[in-house]
Amino acid sequence: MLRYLIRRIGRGILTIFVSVTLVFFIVRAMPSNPVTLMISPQMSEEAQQALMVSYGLDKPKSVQYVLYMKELLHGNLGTSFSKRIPVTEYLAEKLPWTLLLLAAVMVIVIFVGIGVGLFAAAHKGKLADRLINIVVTMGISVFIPFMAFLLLYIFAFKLRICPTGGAYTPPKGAGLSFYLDVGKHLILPAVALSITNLANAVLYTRNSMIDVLHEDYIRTAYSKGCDSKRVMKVHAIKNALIPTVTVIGMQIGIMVGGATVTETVFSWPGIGRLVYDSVNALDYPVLQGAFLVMAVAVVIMSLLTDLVVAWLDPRIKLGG
Amino acid sequence: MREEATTAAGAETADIQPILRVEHLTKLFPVKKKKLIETKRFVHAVEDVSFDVYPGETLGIVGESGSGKSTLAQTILALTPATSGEVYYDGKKITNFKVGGAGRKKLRQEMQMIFQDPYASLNPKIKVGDAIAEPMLVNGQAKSRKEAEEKAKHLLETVGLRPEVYDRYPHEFSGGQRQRIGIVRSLSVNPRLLFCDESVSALDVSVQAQILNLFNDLKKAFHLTYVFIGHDLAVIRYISDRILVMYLGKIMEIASYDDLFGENTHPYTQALVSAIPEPSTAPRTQRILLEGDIPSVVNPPKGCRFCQRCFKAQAVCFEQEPDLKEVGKGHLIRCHFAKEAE
Repeated sequence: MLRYLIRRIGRGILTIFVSVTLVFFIVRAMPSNPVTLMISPQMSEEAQQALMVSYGLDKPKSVQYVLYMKELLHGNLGTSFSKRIPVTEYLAEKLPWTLLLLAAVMVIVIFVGIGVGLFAAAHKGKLADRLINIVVTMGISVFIPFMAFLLLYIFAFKLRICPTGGAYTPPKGAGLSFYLDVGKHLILPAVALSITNLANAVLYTRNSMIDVLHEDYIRTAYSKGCDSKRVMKVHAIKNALIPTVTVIGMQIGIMVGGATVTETVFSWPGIGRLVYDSVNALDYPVLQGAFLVMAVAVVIMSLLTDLVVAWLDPRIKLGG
Repeated sequence: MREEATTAAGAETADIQPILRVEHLTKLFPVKKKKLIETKRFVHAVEDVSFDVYPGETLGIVGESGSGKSTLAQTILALTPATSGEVYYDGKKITNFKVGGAGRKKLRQEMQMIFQDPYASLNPKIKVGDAIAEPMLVNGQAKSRKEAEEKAKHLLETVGLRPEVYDRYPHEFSGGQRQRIGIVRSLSVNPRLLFCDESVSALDVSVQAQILNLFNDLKKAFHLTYVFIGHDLAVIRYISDRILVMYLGKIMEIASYDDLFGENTHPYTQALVSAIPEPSTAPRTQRILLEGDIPSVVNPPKGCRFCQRCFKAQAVCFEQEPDLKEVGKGHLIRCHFAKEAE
């Protein structure tokens, strides 16, 4: 077990290293450079040059890369070009908001998704199942930004039940009223972001539950004298959840990196919004930092997913 | 084994109540419609099957794949609902287990089934010990988990497994061991009537023999009655007192062990008997080879079910379905050419 963990962590670090390297060169391959974006034409040639030097952009890319990696090993992600604050501080300010959004999405996906999936499997072929299937297909194929705007239009603009954007109504309050305010702001982005994941969770849970219910050991359970409730609870669900857990686990990892479009539409102050702003500002260090967070999250989530699946399925030996 | 055969045959004459009586049991599966306008069609899995099982005997049910043997057992045990017909247990009607809650528990406890595939019929996520203990706890044979565990460990020893295996998962066992676990599971609730559905078919021949001997030993130790289902007459005859031959969902013949290997039998039985391998170097004389495959169970033949493949078939066989005729004491044959009892 320990050997397995060490190997997995080693492989994860390698993945992170490769991803950091790729991101480093990709952001620098973008046309234009950050200095020309922020300087006014009146600025003198010398002043521009000085700015380039202060960002370290005057050196060749290979030298920049070595310097960046050196700093990274010390835990220093650099300083934001546009905000002039350390990237770590900047990310630490945005990450909780993304995690909050993510948690809300997960709660919806796990409780509603698995619940509806099990319900559909139990009523396979009946009207309820067919309706669920239609909705799920729509959920998988719908274009999320469109859904986000639609939700915003209906609930914020027409019905005026939900706020139009942001994570709270400024100024930042405290106590219960603040939490309630955040909760109100959370609903729309969480729903918009849940749609595809929810549809996937329903689909996977339903299909694997239907497969499991045809297994011989389910018949065995009935012949033992278990009633159908016990058969579901003890024998079927644990087997049926493996594909769902795998899919949800991978989705979480990706979503820690922020849902750029959804967060931007709802002006949610998370990592996704940060990525959008940083691309516009060509803020290399912040982009690199955001993608590093995403890579780490994906690696951790895939390890956690494998551990959960191994716990669900004793046939899987952790060792490969 | 053979002495028991005569006692079972004797039991029949001595007017002993059958432990299980099946009357005109029929199970049809609807066929999914493919065209827009189509008459509803059915798979005739089990059709008009009637037989008795007497306490202490082993009834073998033999027939090739698709003849409805497993469906028959599952229908009797209410694992799939019967289309029509009745099942009586100890003289009481139990069709589809439509009896009160306590009565159903008792039925689930007294009638157990050992399944065909020892690999698929054990839940891979549940430790074998828990799988064995579960029916005891569900049916109230054991008051506590601890008591169930003790009983399970004791039973594991009776079938030749070490009690330490209690905490292992099914994938850690071989096919023969898994089948023993299946046997322990079914024995754990003290059943009276045990259905063995192709319980040795998935095993190697050497392991088959071990398990069959185990079945015989357990029968004596626990006073069991078996309904033993198989496609291999060589296996079935090793364990059975009486044998029921099925073909395409219908009973072709019911006979005691001795009658089945006698002169006056159904042509299908003769073909099955001639297919039993004999440990002899002498040239095989009359191996009856059946041509073709089992016909469609959606459109069964109009006359005798077996007419298309029968080597004795005459014109009448294609036109008219023969009845199940009694040709001797407890010996029934469904054939136009069976010699009737004088």
